Amino acid sequence: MIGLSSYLTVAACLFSIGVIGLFLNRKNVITVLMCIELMLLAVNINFVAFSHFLQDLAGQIFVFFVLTVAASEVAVGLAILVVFYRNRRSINVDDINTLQG
Amino acid sequence: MTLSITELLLIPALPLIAALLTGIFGWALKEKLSHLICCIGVIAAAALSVHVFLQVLDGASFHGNIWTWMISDNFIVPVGLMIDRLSAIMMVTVTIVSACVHIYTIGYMHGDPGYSRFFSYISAFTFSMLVLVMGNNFFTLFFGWEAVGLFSYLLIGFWFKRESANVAAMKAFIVNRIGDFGFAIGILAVFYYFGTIEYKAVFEAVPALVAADFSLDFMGWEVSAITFMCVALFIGAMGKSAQVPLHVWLPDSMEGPTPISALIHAATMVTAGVFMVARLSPMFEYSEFALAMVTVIGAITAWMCATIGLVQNDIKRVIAYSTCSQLGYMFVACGVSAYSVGIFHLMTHAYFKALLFLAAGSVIHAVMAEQDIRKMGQLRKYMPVTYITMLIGAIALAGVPPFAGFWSKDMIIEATMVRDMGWASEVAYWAVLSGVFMTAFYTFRMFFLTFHNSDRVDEHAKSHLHESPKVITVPLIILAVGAMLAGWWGVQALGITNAEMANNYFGSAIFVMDAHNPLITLEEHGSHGWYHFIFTAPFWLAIGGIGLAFFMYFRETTHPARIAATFPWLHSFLLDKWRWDEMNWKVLVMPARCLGNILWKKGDLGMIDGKIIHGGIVGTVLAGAAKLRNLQTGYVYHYAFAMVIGVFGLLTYLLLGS
Amino acid sequence: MANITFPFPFPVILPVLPEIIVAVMAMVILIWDLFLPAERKQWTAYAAIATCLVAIDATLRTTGADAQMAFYGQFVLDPFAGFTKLLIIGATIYGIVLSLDYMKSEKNIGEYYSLMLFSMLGMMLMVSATNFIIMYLGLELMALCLYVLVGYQRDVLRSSEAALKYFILGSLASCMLLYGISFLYGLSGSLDFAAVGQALGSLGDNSSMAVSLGLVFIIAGMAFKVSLAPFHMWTPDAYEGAPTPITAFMGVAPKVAGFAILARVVIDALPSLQADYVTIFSWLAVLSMAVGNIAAIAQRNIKRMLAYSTIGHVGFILLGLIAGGPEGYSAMLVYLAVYLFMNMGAFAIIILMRREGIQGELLDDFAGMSKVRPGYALAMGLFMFSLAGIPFLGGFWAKYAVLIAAVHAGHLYLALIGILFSAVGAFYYIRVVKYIYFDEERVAFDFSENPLMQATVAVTAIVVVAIGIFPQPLMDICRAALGGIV
Repeated sequence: MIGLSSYLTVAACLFSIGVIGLFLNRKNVITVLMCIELMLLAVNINFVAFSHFLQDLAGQIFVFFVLTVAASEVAVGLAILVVFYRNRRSINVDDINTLQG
Repeated sequence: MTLSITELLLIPALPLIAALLTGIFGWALKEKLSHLICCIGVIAAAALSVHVFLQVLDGASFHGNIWTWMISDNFIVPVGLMIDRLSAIMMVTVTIVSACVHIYTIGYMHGDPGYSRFFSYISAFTFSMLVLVMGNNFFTLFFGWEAVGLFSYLLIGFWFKRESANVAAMKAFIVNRIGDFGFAIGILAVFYYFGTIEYKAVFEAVPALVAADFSLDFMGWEVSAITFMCVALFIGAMGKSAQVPLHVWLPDSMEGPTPISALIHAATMVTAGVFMVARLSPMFEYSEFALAMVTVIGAITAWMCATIGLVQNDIKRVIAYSTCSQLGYMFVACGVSAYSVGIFHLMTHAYFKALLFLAAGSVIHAVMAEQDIRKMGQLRKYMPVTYITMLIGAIALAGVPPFAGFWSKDMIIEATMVRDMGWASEVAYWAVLSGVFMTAFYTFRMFFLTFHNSDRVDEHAKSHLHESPKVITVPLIILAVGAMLAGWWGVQALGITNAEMANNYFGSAIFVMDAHNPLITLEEHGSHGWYHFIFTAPFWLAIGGIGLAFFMYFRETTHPARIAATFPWLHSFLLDKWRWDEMNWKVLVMPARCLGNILWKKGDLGMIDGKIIHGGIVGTVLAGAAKLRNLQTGYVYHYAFAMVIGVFGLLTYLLLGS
Repeated sequence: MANITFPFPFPVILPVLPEIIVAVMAMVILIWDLFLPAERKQWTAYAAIATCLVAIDATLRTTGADAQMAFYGQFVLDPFAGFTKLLIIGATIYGIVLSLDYMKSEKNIGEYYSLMLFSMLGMMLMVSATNFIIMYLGLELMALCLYVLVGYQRDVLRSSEAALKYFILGSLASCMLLYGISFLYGLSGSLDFAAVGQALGSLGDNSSMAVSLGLVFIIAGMAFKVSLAPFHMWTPDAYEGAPTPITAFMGVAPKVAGFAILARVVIDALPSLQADYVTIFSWLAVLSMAVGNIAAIAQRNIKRMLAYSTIGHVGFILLGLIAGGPEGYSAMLVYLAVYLFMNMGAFAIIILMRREGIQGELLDDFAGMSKVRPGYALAMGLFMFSLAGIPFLGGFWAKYAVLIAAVHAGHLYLALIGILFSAVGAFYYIRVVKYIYFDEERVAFDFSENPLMQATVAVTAIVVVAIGIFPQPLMDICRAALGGIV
């Protein structure tokens, strides 16, 4: 039988992979977007797992909202990325550094 | 019967609005508009004050909070009004004198580049003075007190391009700070012991505090709480009302334009101390020590400043020392518990002293800004109105019946005579009695040297000699009427000197213990007819003083020079004003400067700036700032890393901590 | 007429009226913009201002002394929400007025203003949320619009870079917030603040790990939105890159919304964890005050300097939250209200100074301003002194209120640290005044002459002084605004 803690562990692993990917990755901003998506999915697993074990629907409803928001977030993010690319001709994470200090 | 709040609020509000308008838009206003705004504001305030005064005579009063400025815990700062017979008479005096001075200023300051600035200041001053007298708590008193001080400072230094004016302004400011230090401590002590700053609540709590016999240890002395408060508050009054040894700023303040000498440094602001003592009579009455101190300080000032006035040659300084001296009389009156007489003298003095100053200003204006009475003489031919009005002012000041000064000053001397406070009242009696002679003498010395004696005006000034314009003479005439009638009116119509407080004009506005009240003792001596003055010493001393001045100065004689030659040390001692300035310089200013220099050079520049600031604190902060700047690399992954570190740090702290 | 009975309770929508108005108008403006000829695009700005004014009116009318629930108890309109909404709408109006001249040359300006309205809508939802879903939706609506607004100058590199950074880090913060919420949900089985609070109160010790995870992640997510150190790193970059009116807008409005919802969450959902969150907040507050005030000293760009100054100020505001109780929360509101005016005023002056088309952003640009424009110089001086907390200006009473609240709540050392760092902070604020009054002019000034903006600056300066002299009314209002929450 797969218990609650297994789900939570998987979610925690996914979340950590997302976080670590966010600051270890030095190449491409697209990877960053994927990391963010990964973290959101980890959160969703948490919610669904809790929802199932608590026999409460609210968590699953929240998941729908999170999915929707995540979609619009990616849309906004990609748009900003395109604008940035037009100005900088690069989407390397290392090149996002004109503002500092 | 209560008064209309709107009307009461309008009285200080009108001058304030006028001051703001001319202050903010002064650069755009023509002279005419500036003075119109301010004069209308102040004259309307004067009319409303008179209306309020008439209602108060009918028994109306107002007492209450209007608005709460701030609350911090149990420290509540309300803004409210206390309009009773004491504040009503002060309001009338302040606004009428102020209105006269406003009109006078139109002529006096004509063509000055700071014309609208000057009007803005004096209107704002009027507002502050009204707040001071109308307030119902120590906060409004303090606010008004500091605000009048501020405008006094600004106006003394009004001609800021003159160095002497700036020095005088600084001096006034610093000396007043010393007094204000005591004043602030007094107010804090009041709040500490009573837990409130409203007059009414404080006054009601005073007997209980005295009965509980609170005392505190002040530098080794056992001082009762009430004495401590009263003495601290009186130190503030000494600064503001120029009492020895804090009197040194007042003569120097004559560097300011003459209208403000009349308004601020004679009629209103300097009397704030007397007003405060009378207002706080329910506190002072319970402290024998404070009353004795008020009496003695007042008597010393009254006598000492009169002696200095005997030999001064600057027309404004003579009047200025006379002001110090007369303020001393008022404090003596308060000290012997004849508060009503003190306020009465305050009122009569406001009229005749403002008159003398304005007349002096008229003279100075005529002789091309010359202030030395040795370079005047025979001016009565050129300026008859100024001559007659100044004569009225001089007689009133000298204390000749039936002019204003006689009624109030005579009462002060009699009250001092009958009040038994041990040596304090003895000293005070002889001081104020001999002061009468000197007052009459120096007043008429100045008067004769200016208007009679020989003609010593220089040729250049003589070609311009003329009577002043109407805007200057009309206020003189108004004030002259006040100087003639205020005394008689106060005694006969208002009954200001009646012994029983119930019959007295002031009624419950002033509190006097029956055992202290010298007016009751006076009445027991039997009432006097109108001719009574003929049998009193003050009258003959005044006549004697005038006579001596007539003998020495009416025509050009050699007596003054011979007397000065006989007592050269005394003459120069008086001419140097008892060397107070020199003493202050050597005892206070020089050591303070030396100490300041040492602290500045060694302490501040060497230690704090050099070692601590530049080496330590500033160095660390700047290094930290540079480090933080380096941390902000601009790379997103570093930022994200900082957030993750933050989260892990907090998690670790929570899990390990608990 | 027969009584009509619904098979279910009819939803109460009156408390949501301001939000509905804003949502509808934002969409209307978005579409209207398409049909406006280019020279009349500015009308959308006036329509947006009108919307805000109507929203203020609707908020004032609908807010009562009692809490009104809507959406089956997931949305509440109480005095606290009403007051913070007024602040948010006020900040939005400021933002729009400041944009009038600045964004004139941009195309499709209608989108810009409707994005501002949507962002405002998100914040309004946030402060009224009593449920984590509503809170999350409001927060994301606010944040997504702000990402776009920060990068609105599409051909300016630093604008789009700022947007990208803000977006990446903002998404990370949202994920953390959600992760934290998921744990609280798992522990309590509910997403309502009040239910979470009750459930957490009756938990045993064996779940402390999950509680700590939830608490820390939620606080981290929200701390990001209000730029508390160490979650502040995005702030200076986003402030510098964003169009200045947006910098002004997001320097204030999201802070108000963030602190409001933070207060609601800790009061309703986390009361049993008070000791823990007070400890966490204390660290964040000290760190923010230190980082903000010290790093600001090294800045030459005034927008960046004000970004660090914001970090310092949120540290101060957090002191109010740490102190808690009516005194602490009302001190927080006082600070937010005063901060709105003084910060907006300072940004307005920055926007009014344009040099050859580029806004004056360097400290050097202010040199000698007092000789050219004494009025602006005086106003900027007032704002700087107020930000530094000099008596008797508004900023002084704000600092005084939070410090006194902290002392009364027993956090004497925090208050002392606060005083220390506000002394450090005074240095860089007063340095601006020194540039304005004591330095010689370096480059020719070229001021914008928009009368609406000039009037705004004047009114703001007067308000800052008026609050400084008469602080009591504001303090009374803020105390009354706590009616719904404590």
